[in-house]
Amino acid sequence: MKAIKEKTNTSFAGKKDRYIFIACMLAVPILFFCVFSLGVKLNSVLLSLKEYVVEDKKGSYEFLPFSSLGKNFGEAIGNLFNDQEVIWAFKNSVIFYLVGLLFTMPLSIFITYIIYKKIPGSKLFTIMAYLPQMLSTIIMTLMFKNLVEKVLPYLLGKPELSVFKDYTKLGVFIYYNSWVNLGANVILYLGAMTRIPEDLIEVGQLEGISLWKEFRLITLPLIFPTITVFIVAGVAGLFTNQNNLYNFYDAEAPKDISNLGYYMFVRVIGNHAQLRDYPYASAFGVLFTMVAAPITLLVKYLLEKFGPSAEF
Amino acid sequence: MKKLVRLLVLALLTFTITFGSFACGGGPKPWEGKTIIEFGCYQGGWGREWLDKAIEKFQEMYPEYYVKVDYEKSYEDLQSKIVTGKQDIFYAGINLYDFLEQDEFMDITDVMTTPLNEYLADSEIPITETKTIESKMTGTWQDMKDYCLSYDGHYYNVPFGGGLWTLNYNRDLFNRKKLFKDKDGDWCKADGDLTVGQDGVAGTYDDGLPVTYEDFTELLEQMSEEEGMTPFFWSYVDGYTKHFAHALGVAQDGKDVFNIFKTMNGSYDFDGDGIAETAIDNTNAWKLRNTSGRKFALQFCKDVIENGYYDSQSGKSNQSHLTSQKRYVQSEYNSKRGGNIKPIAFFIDGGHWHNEAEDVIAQTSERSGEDIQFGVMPFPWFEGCSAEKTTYYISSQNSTLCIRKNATEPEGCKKLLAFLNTDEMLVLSTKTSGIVRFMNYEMSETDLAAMPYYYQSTWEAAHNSDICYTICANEKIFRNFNYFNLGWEWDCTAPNGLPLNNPLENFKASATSSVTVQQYFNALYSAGPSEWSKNVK
Repeated sequence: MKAIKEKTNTSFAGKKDRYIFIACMLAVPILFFCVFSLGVKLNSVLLSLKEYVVEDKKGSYEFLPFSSLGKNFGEAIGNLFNDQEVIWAFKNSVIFYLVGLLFTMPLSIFITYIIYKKIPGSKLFTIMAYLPQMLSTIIMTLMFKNLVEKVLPYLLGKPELSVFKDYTKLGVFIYYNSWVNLGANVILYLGAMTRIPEDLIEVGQLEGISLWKEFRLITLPLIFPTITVFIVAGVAGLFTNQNNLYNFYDAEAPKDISNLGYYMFVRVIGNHAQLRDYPYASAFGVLFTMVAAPITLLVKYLLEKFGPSAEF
Repeated sequence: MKKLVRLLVLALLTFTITFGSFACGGGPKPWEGKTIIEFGCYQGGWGREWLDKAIEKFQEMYPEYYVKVDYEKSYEDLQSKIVTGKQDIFYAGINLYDFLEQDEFMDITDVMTTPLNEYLADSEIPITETKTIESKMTGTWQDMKDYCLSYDGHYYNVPFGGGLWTLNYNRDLFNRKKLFKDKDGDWCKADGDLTVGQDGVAGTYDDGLPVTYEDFTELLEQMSEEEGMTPFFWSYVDGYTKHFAHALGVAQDGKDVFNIFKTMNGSYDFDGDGIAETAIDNTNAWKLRNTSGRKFALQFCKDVIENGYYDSQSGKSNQSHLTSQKRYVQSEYNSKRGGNIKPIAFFIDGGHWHNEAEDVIAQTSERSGEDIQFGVMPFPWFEGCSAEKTTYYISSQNSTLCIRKNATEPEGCKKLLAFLNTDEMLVLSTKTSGIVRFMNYEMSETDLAAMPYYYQSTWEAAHNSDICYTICANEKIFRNFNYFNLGWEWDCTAPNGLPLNNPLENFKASATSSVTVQQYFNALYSAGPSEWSKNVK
């Protein structure tokens, strides 16, 4: 009996230690999550319902009167239709999203497949795709800026052309973002492709299946969950991604290549930031979350319901 | 076995800690036994030498203090340090009211209003200056003072200093190419019998330089057609070209017109509107984007672009402020060595550029074996301009010195602040980096002679001309300073729907190069009301 009691105590003591250990290990990340993720988001939502008020020479964020609680949202919606700067930003966000979806994603899958199948030239594609991932974003920005600014004007026969200020700027940005995003896509697609069982491929090869058919009938359906993740994440980032504009232009990007992520960002940081604009920027963020969240969930639902599914 | 492992681990730890201490320098630290003052300093164009030298002197005067400086190259990071960092005293470019309304700064009225010899009476080396800091902010700097006091009648900051937005030119190149004008109207060197320049006084910095736009055009033609030079060059930094064009307009309109804008009170006779005088108040001051001086500024920029009076690398993104300074400084040297570049006459940048380019200037001078001295010159006047005197627009207007409200060492910080504003230190900062401090002080002939010509000419220009700056006690302006400092100047939309915000760059870019001066001018007017209602609260 005594032995059993001792065993029980020991086991409880062991469990207690384990619980304490787990609690200690999780406490910090949970605290960080609560403060820096939940707390910040909650504060953003609250801020969107406030305004910056200066009373007795002291400034503070006060809740708007109930009757005009939606003032910041009204301003954000109004600007979406009337403010040329916001219209440009919205248009560019959509352009960048569509380019990502219709161009970068298929290209990433294509390049990944070349690398995966070790088709001649795959090493070159590997270097090209991974290079931006191996260097820091700022170094990439500087290298790209210098190279393109020197080379492109001569290719176009206009030595005085300022690539990042003239009509070329949007095209160059689309190219840059497609390129730097390529590497991350390739890494994930390659991970998904290498998980495809060899047996399946071998069966196909024994059946005399062509490379294109193998890609279409085996590879694509099996990596579709990864594609779904990219499409869903793309929709979620449609209104928040600033596409490296800040790295290139600081807070002074030409308005006609701005996008919504950048528009909101420079309202709270840099030369144009003002305390009174924070609630407006928050409202903008909340507004787009309200639009993006249901679209994201809907896209996810549709892709999972109607997209090819396979378990392996 | 366990004991042995424990002993080994213990020995290893002891060794690591002991070795670590030695590696970090076991000797006495310079701050040991002293009270530390933590200083947060923006290390921009004015560099750090002025502060390093001042601190060295301060520590001689107050050996009980040690000043630790955190030099910060990012505005944003320094601003967040004002709120959350450990630094107590700051030199930064800030929107003052954002911080005052958050109760971040210490009341320093006593520092400002006590004679400096009394405030610093306990220093090891006596200070003899009997003036107060406040008393130095009169005349030209009165608006700065009013701005400081506009919050609640107390001082919370000391405005720092800046340079001039104007034409920076290579004086030695001008000399070698004989681009000065003598009284007979001939081109000559700087030692010729020069014309008296815009100030009308002989023996000053603007002698032999163009007075009117006609003179200036003649100079541009001479340098580009006869001397094989490129007149203008500028970097990628948009702010510089925007302010340049704005300053050009201010120089034409003169201080009186600029003051109508600052006070948003007065009247102005707009060209061609059929009204003799339009009353200006804080609801329609946007109309002052359409002064005749600003139209001339647009014309000036258009002429520069249309006549190809600029270097092909101007405004390109690989021309950072530092790279472009180097290109400008070395242009003559590289052209002689067969480089694909012509000597460049004018460089568009803030007044701080010379301090930043000091090393490049010295190196180039050494390599080429020739003097390379730069200078500032007034903007030429167009026919019918309303300025009655040479007028300059100041850079770095929002640079300031301030102390955190709950500073750990308030007394030390205040003494340091007072010390940094003694005449000796004002002179030192001008001598070291060419900053024109926003106060009244004198430079001796010896001090002036010891400075590069660029600093001398800046000093002379700043003290014998009308000086304009946006910062003032007008609430509409200081509450919206970010807008008035950048967006106000040129933001509008071209007839083809593209954004305009920088005359030189807009006239250069192919998508907007067809916009005429009149269209740009009209666009400024059309965008005025919406820009105003959106940005001026």
